[in-house]
Amino acid sequence: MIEDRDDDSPSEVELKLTGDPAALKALREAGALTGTSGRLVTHRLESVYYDTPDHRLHRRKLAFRVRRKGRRFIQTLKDEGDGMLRRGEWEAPVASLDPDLDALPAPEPRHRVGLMFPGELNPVFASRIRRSSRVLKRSDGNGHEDEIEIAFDDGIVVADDRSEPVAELELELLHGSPKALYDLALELTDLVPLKFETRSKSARGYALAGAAPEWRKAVPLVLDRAATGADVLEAIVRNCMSHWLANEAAALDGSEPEGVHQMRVGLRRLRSALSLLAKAIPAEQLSWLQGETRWIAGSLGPARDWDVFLASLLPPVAAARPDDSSLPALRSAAEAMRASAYDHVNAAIATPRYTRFVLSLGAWLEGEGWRDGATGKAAKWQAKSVVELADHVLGRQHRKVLKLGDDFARLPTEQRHRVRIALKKLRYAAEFFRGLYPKRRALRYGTALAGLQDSIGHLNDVAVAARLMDELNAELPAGADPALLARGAGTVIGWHEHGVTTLEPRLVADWDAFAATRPFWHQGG
Amino acid sequence: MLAVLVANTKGGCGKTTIATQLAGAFAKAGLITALADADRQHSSLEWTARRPKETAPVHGLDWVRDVGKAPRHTARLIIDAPAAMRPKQAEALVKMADMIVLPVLPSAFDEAATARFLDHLETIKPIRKNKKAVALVGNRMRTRTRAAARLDQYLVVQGHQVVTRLRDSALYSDTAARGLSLFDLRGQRAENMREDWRALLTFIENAA
Ligand SMILES: Nc1ncnc2c1ncn2[C@@H]1O[C@H](COP(=O)(O)OP(=O)(O)OP(=O)(O)O)[C@@H](O)[C@H]1O
Ligand SMILES: [Mg+2]
Repeated sequence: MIEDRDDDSPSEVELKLTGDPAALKALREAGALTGTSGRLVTHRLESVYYDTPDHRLHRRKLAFRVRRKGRRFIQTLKDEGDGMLRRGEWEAPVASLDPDLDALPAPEPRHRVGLMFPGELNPVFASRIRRSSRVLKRSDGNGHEDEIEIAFDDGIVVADDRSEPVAELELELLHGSPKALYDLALELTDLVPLKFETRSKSARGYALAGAAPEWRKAVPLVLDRAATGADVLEAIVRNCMSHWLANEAAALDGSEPEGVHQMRVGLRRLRSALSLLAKAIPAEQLSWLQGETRWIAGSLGPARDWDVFLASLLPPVAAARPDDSSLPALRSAAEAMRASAYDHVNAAIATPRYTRFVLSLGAWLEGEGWRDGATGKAAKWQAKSVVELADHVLGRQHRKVLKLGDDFARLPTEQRHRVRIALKKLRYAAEFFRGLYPKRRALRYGTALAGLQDSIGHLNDVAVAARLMDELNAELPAGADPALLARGAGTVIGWHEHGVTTLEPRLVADWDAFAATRPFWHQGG
Repeated sequence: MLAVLVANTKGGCGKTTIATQLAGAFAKAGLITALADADRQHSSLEWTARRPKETAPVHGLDWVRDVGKAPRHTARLIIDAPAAMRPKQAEALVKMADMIVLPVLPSAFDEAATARFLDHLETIKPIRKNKKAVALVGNRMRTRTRAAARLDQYLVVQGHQVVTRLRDSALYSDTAARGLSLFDLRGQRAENMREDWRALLTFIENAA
């Protein structure tokens, strides 16, 4: 439902797994796999990736390479795709390892590359891979046959004088359902430990050439007005999963706080969607989905909190008190905590549990798993029309917020936190469904909602600061001076607590403005 | 699609020359290119009509009365603005463009006109909010003249960098007369002159 690419543009459907080279070698024998395997064929592949000195193609989310395979040269332009299975891909034979722009037909893919001045395209990095592949045919149990190419890649990526080993497995769908890729990947992870790999070889090459890993925000959801509840579920889960996975590499890298942040936002949007659409999901599946996403999001929480502390909670206090020696001490303690929180992120993503969940969720999505065991209520909600569903979901969440926030000016902090959390969910719901309604009203509502979220968000600053300072106190870094840190912590908490007091009139005004804003959906449904 | 508006209320500063050269460059690069003429003199449209069959096609569009639409699949749209723009027309053209190329001749007379035009542009919202890039192009420059140095200095003071300098050459009027651009020519001389365009084309591509 949500694929935004033109349907006639070519694309590949492929999944990557990385693992220990020795373990991958063992898998090559493939005796353990069900289905009929073709012969194992081995090729040497040499690929050179081209770009402008300022990596313009990379910024356009493109990878442009020429690959030597035996005596042939194949030029390929790929786009970034959805971060899961699908990428746009255009191939043409060329005469040598040099790129040939005239082999790219207009409009696509030529327009993607744009104008290149002579000499502007140069090699950025190269890969040398030994690829052993075989074709696996297997029945899906419903009389359809899936055909998958399994390729074992072993080699290196080289940029200038740096290089990195490559040991990965690529499963490419030649024929059949994308679900078959996830099923096969799950089967393989039962045999040896493997990690779902979100990065292409080109992403690794650019990282090696010094580019920071990419992060991105959510892609706005486009829902078809003819969609059903089941279509909506699929579209939203796909959108959120792609948002989460597209930021995983940047989260692992950790040099850009947006990585963990956006990965977490992707997961939070997903968790909100699961709760908003709970009625359309069979109960057992719902608790599985909620449990696993809560675990992953929870693993990212501390890293995000320390990023926020270091980037926005501590600096205003430190700037106002330049002579206070407790604040630099607090900063270095917080940096140590942040580093260990990022180790925790890396460890969680490296677990078999994480990869298993990504693959199972992918299989659930591609195989429309929600249809299994959808009895009575779930089936009814899956069959509803998108507008009916959206009216219901938005109306219910809106009423919930109004009820929780009743008599807002007199509401205690604890209760305001509940309002804040319900608002966040309402915001995601509004973003999912706004395209179905008149623009102007949706925009006005969105603005009021965002304004309120912004001012109520300061409550959370205080809560985060207090929680982190407790954590710090419980795990004092070696050599730290507890009294000094305690003073710094108290100063930061007090600063933000006071900030909340100052903002009180604005917060109440923002609440009133929001409560008076007319909903943009059809009411009374 | 990326739309590039070539404009300056100063007459004769090279708008049509730059617009047609840019269109020629993009067409030659294999991109579907349109050239919209918003000037009633129709010099850009006449250039597209003169274009030899064997060159890469540029689709001419008549935008004198109104801002129109580019054909489907157009990758680069170049708009040639008239010197005397009506305020409504200026606003409409700026709104539809993704970036603006502003030719300037090295003379005190031109500087004053350019400053007025830049001031006017600043009143249009997307420019004021820095959402649209303005690329200044020094045109008809003779290297190492005092005028050239003055222009550089003046433009930096205005808060704008000159993206490129185009030399003064008879090749511009020669190619224009034949419906060609530098990018359609063979030979060393044209190749050397094309170097003047590298920075501007890269600037435009980086905005795409
Ligand atoms: N770099 C250059 N070298 C030599 N001649 C040039 C150069 N640029 C422009 N010219 C010449 O200057 C004259 C005016 O240029 P052009 O028609 O491009 O300006 P314009 O800004 O479009 O004018 P108008 O305001 O009348 O539309 C033309 O004869 C053109 O050939
Ligand atoms: Mg003109």
